[in-house]
Amino acid sequence: MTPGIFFGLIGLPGLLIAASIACYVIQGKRDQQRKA
Amino acid sequence: MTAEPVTLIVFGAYLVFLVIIGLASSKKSAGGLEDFFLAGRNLNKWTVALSAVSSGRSGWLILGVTGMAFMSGFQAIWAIAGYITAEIVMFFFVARRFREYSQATGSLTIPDLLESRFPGGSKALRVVSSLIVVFFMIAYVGSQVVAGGTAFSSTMGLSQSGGMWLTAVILLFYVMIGGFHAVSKTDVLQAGFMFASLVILPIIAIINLGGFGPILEAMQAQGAGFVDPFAFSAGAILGLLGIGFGSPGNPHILVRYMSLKNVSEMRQAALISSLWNVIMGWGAVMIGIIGRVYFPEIDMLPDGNHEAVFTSLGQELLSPLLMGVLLVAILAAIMSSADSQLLVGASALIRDIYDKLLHRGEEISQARLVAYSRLATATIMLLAVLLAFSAETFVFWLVLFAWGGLGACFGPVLLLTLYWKKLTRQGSLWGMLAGLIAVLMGSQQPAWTYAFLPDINNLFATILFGITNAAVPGFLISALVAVVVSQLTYRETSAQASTER
Repeated sequence: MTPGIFFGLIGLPGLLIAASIACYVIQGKRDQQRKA
Repeated sequence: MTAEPVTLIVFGAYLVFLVIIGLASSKKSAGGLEDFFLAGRNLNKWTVALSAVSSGRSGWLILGVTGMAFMSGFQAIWAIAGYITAEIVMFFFVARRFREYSQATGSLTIPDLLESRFPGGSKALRVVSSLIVVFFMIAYVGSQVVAGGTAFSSTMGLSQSGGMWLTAVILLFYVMIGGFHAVSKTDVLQAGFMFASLVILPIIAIINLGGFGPILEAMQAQGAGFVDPFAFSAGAILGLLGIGFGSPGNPHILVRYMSLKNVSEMRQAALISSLWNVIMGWGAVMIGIIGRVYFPEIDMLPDGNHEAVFTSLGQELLSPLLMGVLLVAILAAIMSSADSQLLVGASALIRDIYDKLLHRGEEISQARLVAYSRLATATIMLLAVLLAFSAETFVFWLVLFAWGGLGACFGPVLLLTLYWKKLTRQGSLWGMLAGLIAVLMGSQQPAWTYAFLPDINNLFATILFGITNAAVPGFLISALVAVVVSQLTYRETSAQASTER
């Protein structure tokens, strides 16, 4: 598997999923701060 | 092609379900305009998340993206990465404020929300924004009716016009009866069908091929341009990513944010929607790429049409039952967008034009407004069908720039409405118009304007690193005009409403 294929099939979707989870965590912390 | 009996049964069962959901939602949608157009802001996180995804993804994902991946390989990943990124940002960071602000101001529609910053005075902002919404939603629905006609004619052996009428009647029935309740619940069902087909088909293909090996071989056989995501120019990649600029301004997606019951569930809804988007997007790309294993040459697809790779691969690999699911997925993608667009068009007619403009300040009962909303839904559908039958070329011409045009028209102004207290009514109005005109001129410049204007698309590409997708300059121009005009017209003493409501 070339680096390009890896990026196209796994890397980019993986990055988007990681970004979504990171945003989820960030918003969770902001929600906690709001409550506090 | 006429489908197998079991395929037709799946098709029929799906249509019956839509009708049942419409009937089951009729009572809930009758309470008032908020119930009919926003499900009383009472939806759970799953419904909001899946409804937002399936409303935004029309047949373009299932037929267009699979076809793009078949033709150009990894070029397609940039097209989906653009809108997925934009929707991650919108859902996680904007949707909550959008939801809270819309409730605080009693906004049910996008023109409502834009106008709510500047109560009293001129109604030009509401007039212009609602006419733009109505106009584009009629064109969108018209194009979906044509696509539905094609889906029915190719699977059930109906004529194209018979298929168009069947699409229109089923859509109209459940939207008119069930309003937003029915639209969002059918969206969940439709998201399930789209998900199933975009995930099951690649998995079956990989099992059938005995692993990834043959797929990698077929990809490499197509050449470096097919397998290298960076084989394209920066302008081409940025232009494809720029498809995402449509997401912040298309009203049929944005109103989903307003309908969530519990605001604290917004981040969960955002996560569900984002993961769903990624899985469906990459499922579509995989189908296009795997298509190259089964159909190495484009001539092997019906009529040499690259957008037929989805159905051709299904016929090659699936049982009649699963083929039924796959065909329903195409119709589901069409229906789930069309129903949302139909309802948004009706909301602009009744809430914005009838209630807030023509009968401003008058007490009209909610029951009467709901009855009129149902009539407006039928009117929008009738206009869309008439347009689809009489001016199909015009409909597709409009839809070509509708996504980017609406994004540039409403996206920057809505974001500024929520986040910038110096935004003025004039800034909003001129920003909207500038964005729309920029996208029109950049993507569909009328021939007669070449007599006194340069090639606008070339001009944009020269300035913006070779980007030829007019949505990108349109969005930037809209934001720039809104900010500059607001700076020129903002008065400290004037009653600019606060964004902190």
